[in-house]
Amino acid sequence: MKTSSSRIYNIHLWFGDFKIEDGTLVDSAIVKKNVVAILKRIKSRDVLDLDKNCRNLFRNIAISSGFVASELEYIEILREATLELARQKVVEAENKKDQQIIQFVESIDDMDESINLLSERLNEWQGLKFGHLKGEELEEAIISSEQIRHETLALDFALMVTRLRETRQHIADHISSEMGSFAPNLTHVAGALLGARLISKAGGLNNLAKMPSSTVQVIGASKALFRHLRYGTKPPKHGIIYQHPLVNRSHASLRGKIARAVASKISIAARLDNFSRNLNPELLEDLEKKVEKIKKRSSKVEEGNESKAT
Amino acid sequence: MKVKPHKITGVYLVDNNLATRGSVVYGERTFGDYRFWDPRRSKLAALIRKKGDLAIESDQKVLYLGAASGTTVSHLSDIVSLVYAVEVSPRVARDLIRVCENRMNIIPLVSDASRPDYGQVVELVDLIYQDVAQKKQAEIAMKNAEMFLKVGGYAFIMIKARSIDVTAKPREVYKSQIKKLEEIFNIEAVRELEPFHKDHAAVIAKIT
Repeated sequence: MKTSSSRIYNIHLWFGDFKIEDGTLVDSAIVKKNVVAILKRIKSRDVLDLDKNCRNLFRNIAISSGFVASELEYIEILREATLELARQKVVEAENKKDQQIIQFVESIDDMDESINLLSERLNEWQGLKFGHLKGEELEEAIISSEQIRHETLALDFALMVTRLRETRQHIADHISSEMGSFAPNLTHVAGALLGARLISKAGGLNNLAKMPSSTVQVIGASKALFRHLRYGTKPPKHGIIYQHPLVNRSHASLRGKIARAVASKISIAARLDNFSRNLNPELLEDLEKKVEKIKKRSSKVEEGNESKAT
Repeated sequence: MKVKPHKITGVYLVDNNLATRGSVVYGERTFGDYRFWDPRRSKLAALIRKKGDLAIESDQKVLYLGAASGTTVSHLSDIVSLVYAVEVSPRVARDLIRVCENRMNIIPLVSDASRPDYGQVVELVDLIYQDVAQKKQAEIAMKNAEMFLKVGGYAFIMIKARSIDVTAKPREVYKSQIKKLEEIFNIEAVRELEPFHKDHAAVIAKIT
């Protein structure tokens, strides 16, 4: 091994610890040649203060310490290990994003509750003065009113509710933009907020992807579901996917069928996002066609029934 | 189609379009196993268009900072022997990983180049290529050069004027970045990447 320096180097590398004296490898402790052991080592600590000249010796050290037989093998093993580490880091980051989205959704729900509560209070307190205006209109009226200037408490209260509404909107916007990249297919099929709610209820995108679509259909209707299972009442037709416009804008008699179709496409979307994350716009088109079909079929049946009746 | 070798070994001109040889990666146009290398898409391709004689050799090891989804990395891996590809964003790294799965000579590192944590992995390299579009990019280039670049090695630094100061004139931004880089580099050339990339310049720097 060639180095002109006569210094002693103790080197911590991804494949072991080494001592080099006068350019010769005098001591070595190599790591087991498998990805798990190598990754454990890479994660444990890092070397930043290594003499630049030593960086030219990595392959030589690996070969002369018996870790690998050739430079080619050196690169093969390093590549395999770093590729696995990169995958792990990506998955970890994605999991964190899951948790973020869940926090955002839950905070939106909390804020909605608070906004309603505070808004009602304001209504009871100031509503009469403003000709029974309600909600946002009432708040705006109070904020822009001259006479209220003297009643700073009411003004403060109204401003606070307005501010809450704004923050809620910011969070909703943020969810939209995050969902677009985190779960593009789910967002396309279900919309950002409903998609995020489903992730939240399922406890993560990965969990949602693993669920059968019949479970997705009744997420958020657990009370009704267990009532059904225990006492044999009618099963719930839909959980939070009721918020999907295709479901709630349809006639009540069709909602069960449509909810089933929506849930099945949502399941497929969640699985796509969990494993590849490329947007497939056909999902929503398919779903819309299917819902159209369900509606047509039912109107035919109705016509049929009517003609029988007459 | 007519194929001619470019001055840089491993780069080709196919009907006067830049190309490298290897397997398809991101849906680029191909001719046989020649993959077209679009200068509007890759700053390195644009730089090769602007300055044909670059110190890129087939036996080099390259540290690539800001690998993004790996389009340029994939072409570079067709040319040189090994690429250490650093990308900080896990989201973008997803695509980079896909590229690495099909190439044996890319070492993916999901890390922040401004706080290098790949000191026990990256060898001494012949070239640092940087395309990070960050305010502190000169500092990042210098830190990595001091750790990993061999004596006499080159750094190709892509400067995006608007990521450093949106209000300043691009040329002023280039000047200020070059001044910082001169602390440890000899600046051998600066090329604006118009018309391929607006408000971008490439700095060719040799470590002293």
